[in-house]
Order: sequence, then structure tokens, then C-alpha cells
Amino acid sequence: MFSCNEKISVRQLQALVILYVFGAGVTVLPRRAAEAAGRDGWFVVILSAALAMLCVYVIASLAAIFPGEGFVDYSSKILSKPIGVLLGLGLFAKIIISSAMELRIFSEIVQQTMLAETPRTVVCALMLGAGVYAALCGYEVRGRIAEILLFITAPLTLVFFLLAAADADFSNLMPVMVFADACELIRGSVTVGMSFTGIELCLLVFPYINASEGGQAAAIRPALVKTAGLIGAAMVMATVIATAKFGAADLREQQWPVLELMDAIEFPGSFIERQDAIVMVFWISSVFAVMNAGIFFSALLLKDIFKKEWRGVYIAVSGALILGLAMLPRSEAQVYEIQKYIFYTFGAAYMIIIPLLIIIAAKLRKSEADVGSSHRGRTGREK
Amino acid sequence: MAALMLLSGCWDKTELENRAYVNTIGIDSTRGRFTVTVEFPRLESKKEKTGERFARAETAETVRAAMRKIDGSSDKKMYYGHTEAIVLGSGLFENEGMFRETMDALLRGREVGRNVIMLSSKVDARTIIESETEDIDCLGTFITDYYGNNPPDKPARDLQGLITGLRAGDSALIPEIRLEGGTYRLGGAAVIKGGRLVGWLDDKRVRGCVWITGGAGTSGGGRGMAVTAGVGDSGENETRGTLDVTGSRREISFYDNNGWPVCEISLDIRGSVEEYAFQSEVPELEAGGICCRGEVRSPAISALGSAFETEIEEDIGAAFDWLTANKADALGFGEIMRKRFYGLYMRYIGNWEEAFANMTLQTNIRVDIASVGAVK
Repeated sequence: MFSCNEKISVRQLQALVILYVFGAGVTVLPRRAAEAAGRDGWFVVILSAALAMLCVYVIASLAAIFPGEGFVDYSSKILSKPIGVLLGLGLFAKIIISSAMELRIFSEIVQQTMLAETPRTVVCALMLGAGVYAALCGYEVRGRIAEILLFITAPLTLVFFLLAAADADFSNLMPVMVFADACELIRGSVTVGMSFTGIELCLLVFPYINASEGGQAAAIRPALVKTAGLIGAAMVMATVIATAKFGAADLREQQWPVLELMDAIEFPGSFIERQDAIVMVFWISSVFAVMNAGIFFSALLLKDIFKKEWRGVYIAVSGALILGLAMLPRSEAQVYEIQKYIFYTFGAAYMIIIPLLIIIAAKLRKSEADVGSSHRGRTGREK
Repeated sequence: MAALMLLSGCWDKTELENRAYVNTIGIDSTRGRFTVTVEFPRLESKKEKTGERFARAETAETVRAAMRKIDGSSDKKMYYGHTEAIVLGSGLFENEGMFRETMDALLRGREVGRNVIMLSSKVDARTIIESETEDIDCLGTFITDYYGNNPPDKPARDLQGLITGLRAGDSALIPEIRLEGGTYRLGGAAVIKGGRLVGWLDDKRVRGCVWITGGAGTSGGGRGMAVTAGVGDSGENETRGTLDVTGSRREISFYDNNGWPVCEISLDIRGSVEEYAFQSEVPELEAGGICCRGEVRSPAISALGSAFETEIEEDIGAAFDWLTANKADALGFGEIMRKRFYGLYMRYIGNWEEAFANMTLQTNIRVDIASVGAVK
């Protein structure tokens, strides 16, 4: 493993996905869930998690059809080269914009909770610099960092969630499913699905998984589905505890409910004043994972599109684009609007629609090829 | 080492002497404007308590603007992250809009945490904060310590609890602070409904509220509520005892009776009585032992238990009658019904205020005296 800088184990992949998806999505998830279905928001999160598991299953199935090949390569093979390149560029744009918005939210939270005087550009550039460095070091380094970060931050975060649960009023979740309208719940689960955005990056990871460690696409599929399920379970837990603590009406108006949740924990003796710092640690680790993944994969896509080995240039271009785009929105509200727009267009498309279309196209191509070869065989015999 | 040297000197360095750590905030209404008073300790000043206070007050159109003005009037930067308590002056409760604006400012501003203790005052909050007392230098710290070291018969209410109460039923209790004889007293509470003051609860009614909400068990300082009652003829022959509550379990249920709700409160109280005055009436105690009500079935202890039950029932009745008479569901009966008796709640949903006003109470209180006469 140490001799190969571009291959990661399945466990490292799981750690990367958990950091990337959970950390980035959880800060605002309870608010989105409460907006979608009030006190039944947790149920909407369960539906969203099921959708995320389905998306991961479809993406892993697609990778199993083209083992060892990159996204641009196999989509060019199946849908023609121009469409393949176009899809690659679309995914590049999606990753760059999503990473930029995540970076902007990061700088907003850091400014409002910790570094009020530090210029936003400096906060963004420092985080981006760390991401660029990790991306330059290669995929395996990212995998190992993710494992270490998850090992440090996940248990602490879990303990703090449990402490928050001890003080929560779970009757705030009652009555359960009284206003449940199936259409509303499904619509809500799609909206809340925004918090699972990022799983589309799984489209790009398969060539980097060490096949000697059970990394065949078919073997990775259950591991990825389990990871999506684990993230979903953690998100349901966060939503249930936040709803129990604040009530759905209050949650709808909170900017970052999970940070508020941590802040509201009462320690006997009050020897820790800023419990929200613990979640911040997990969340900053996640933003770091988001940044280095965004830079790494966007550079990778540029390499697949242009077929030139200019990795350093691609990373520099991606980093500059992310920093520039992060500075553009006028306010945090605009950032959320952009995120919503990206999710409903590019996000949903790359999470499920495009992988499904490529699978269908691949099946059709295969059956055409089968018919063609059998037809050619029959004609040959007749001759 | 390089990181330590470089990272400590960026834009957000904090010098302790350049910050004023706000300990208490007072908010008043002054002719349609907000007066905000902040109290902060002088870190560099003195070692002994003198009762001297450091406070600043400013008036402006909004709470935030007043806070900004305070910032601008000081050579230090005000830091609200360690605020312990907020006192709301009575003037705020006379103006619904101003009360709601205050709550909104506290809720949306990131400066003040949600676990800050909320208090009300019959006089201006500024008067409360600026008054010099004998031995209290920081009011907020005094209030936190008070609630931390005292039994729950004077319950604390934090900003989160207040917001939750107001959101659920548009009514809430805010514990009262007052100045008596040069020192602070906590007790009683303001009842707010629809952003306005409905009235003030006395200590007995506040106690009743604590019994109803089930918070009578052990809390601050390891002590629960205490209730005193007497048996025998009143006067010299009356034997009085105090029950120290160690645990309480409350159940609330509702049912309909002739179109109006009935609230049934079951309360199991456990506690101990430590007076020795019953010694002559209980043989086990006479022999120097400790006994339990259940084991001994002494008529004196049973009678005392019944007296405690009556006393608690009176407290609950007083609070309940006051709240229903004023149509102020400050303890969230409607919310409990909505959560746990949703079908029944739906019957009154369009007319909850009237339903609450006509709600009747049925109590089922059981006091279990776990021990009597323990000698240290």
C-alpha cells in the first residue's frame, strides 16, 4: 500500500465518503428536514438515505460494467466521444461549483463563530491551500488522512450527540406521522437529499481502489451501500436529536442547528464553554475532505478530457476556480440558492439519472453487439 | 514552534484587557425605544467583593443598535459569549411588539447563547443591574450560582425554554428577580401571553407550577423541593415536619367531560423527614432507629404524609386555577395534549383558549416518606 500512491483500500474509500458526505451535509440537515416535514423530518431523512443508497448502488453497478475505466472513458465509449467529454465537463462544473459553495459556507461559519476579523479570502485560501497540498500528494494520502481524521473526530462527535440527547425532550417528535402526506414526504426526501450530495464522486473513484484488497467493483458495491446507510443512520440520529431538543418550529429558523445543538449542551461544572468547537473540528475535517476531493477529482476530469499529464496545472486551475467562485455570492442566502439549483440540475443528474442512462445504453449496445455477432455468424455459415 | 509564533498574531488575536466580558444584560422599554444595560466584571480591579458594579446603558431604536452604542461608548470590545443572565424590565411586557422584537433579537443574534438564564423584574432591568449590593459584584454569576446551589422550588428558565414555551402556546413563565433590603431575591414569576404580561405569580403558585411540570426532584445542590405541613390541632399541639423531596414522578392525562377537557395529574413524591419531633409517637424512633412509612404504618407518619399531599394539592390547585382563570397556558398543557392525546386535542383545536379556561383538574398525589428521623 505504501509503495502505491494512487490506490486506496475499500476502508479508506468508506472513510473518505463518510467525511465528505456526512460532515458537509449535517450542519443544515435538521433545518431542511424540519422545513420539509416538520417533526416528521427524521422520516424524510430515512427516505433520503434510501435514495442515496439506491444512487450508490446504481453508480457501483455502472463501475462493475467498466472495471478499471474512468467516467469520461466509458461514457465516451458508450455515448460517443463528444457526449462523453460534455458529461465530463458537466461533472467538472458541478464539482467546482459545489466545492466553491462549501468553501464559502465554511468561511461564513468560521467568520461568524470564530474569526470575525480575518478576511474571508484568507480563511478560504488557507483551507484551499491544505486541499491543494493533499490533492498533489495523491489519492492514497487522502485516504490515509481520512482514516486518521475519522478515527479522531467521529467518536467525539458521537459522544456529544449522546450528551445532547440526554437533555432533549423526545416528546417533541410526537405525534408521529399525523400530517404525513405521501407526496409531501417524497418531495421532502428529494429536497433533503441535498445533504447527501457528493456521493456522485463515487463515479470517479473506482479506478483508484486496490483490486488486491477486494477492490473489484462488484465487491465494493455492498461496502459503498453500507456506507451510505451508515451516513443515513447518523443523519437520522442528528435530525431526531435536534428536533427533540429544539422542536420543529424552532429548527426551521435556525441557521446551523447542529452547531446550536452542541452549544446548548450543559456540562456539569461547565468546564467546557465552547462545545460547538467539537462539531467544528469534525466539520472542518469534512470541509478539508470536500476541498481536496473537489480539487483532486476536477483535476482528474481535466486530465481525462484533455488527455495530457499536466496534473499540477489542472490542480492549480481547479483551486483558482474554486477560490474565485467562492468569493462571488453576495450572501449566505445566495450560496444556499446556488447549492439548491446545482443539486436539482447537475446533482440529481449525476447521482442517478446519467449513471442509469449509461447502464441502459451499455446494455442496449451489448445486446446490439450480441445480435450483430450472431447475425454475422449465421451469414458466414450460410455462405 | 513556527505555527505557535505565526498563528497567534493574525487578525483575530484577543487581548483579555481589551475585552469587556458581559455578565448580565438588562433590557427595558423607554418611551418606545430599547434601553440595554450591560454589566461586566473589571478583571483588573480588586480581589475582594465590594458590591460595586460596572455597568453601561444605552438607548436606541432596536436592541442591536443599543448594543452597538454600548460597544461604541467603551474603549473595550463587548463580548457576550459568557453572558449568564438577561433581565427583562416590566416595561417590555406592556408592549407586545417590543417584547417580540426583543425575543427575536436574542434569538437571531449569535452573540448570546441559548442557555442564558432569563429573568423578569417588576421594575426596570437597569435599576436591578445598577443597584449596588453588599456582596455581589456580578449579578449574572450570582444568579447562575443561586440556581446551581438551590432546590428547584424557584426554577430557572433559559432562553431556549422561553422560546419553546412561546412557540408552543404563545405563553410562558419568566422567573422574577427583585431587590429587597439591599440584596437580590429570586422568586415568583411573570406570566406572558401573546407578548404581554398577564400577571405575576407568587412563590406558592410557582411551587405549584414546579409540581405540575414534574421538576420537584433533586436538582441544584443535590436537593429537591421541600414541603412543610403539620398534623394535630393547630397551635401548640400541632406537630410540623418538612419533607425533603428526593424524587418525583409525574403523569398527566386528559379526557373529555361534557365538552371540556379534564386534566388528571398523578404525582408520586418520595422524600424524607428528618425532624425528631415524632419520636415519642413512633416506637421505632423511640428505640433510636430509622423507619419508613410503609413499614411502620405509624398513624403519625401517615397523617403527616396526608398533610404533605394536601399541601402539594393546594399548591397545584393555586397555580392551575390562576392560569386557567387568566387563560394563560404557560405550562404547555395544550402542547402535552397535542403530543400525547392528539385525537382529543383535535376536538379543541379551534377553541383552545376557551377549552383551557374551562379545563378542570383532578389530582392524584401520593407522598412516600422513605425515612424519618435519620440522625447524623
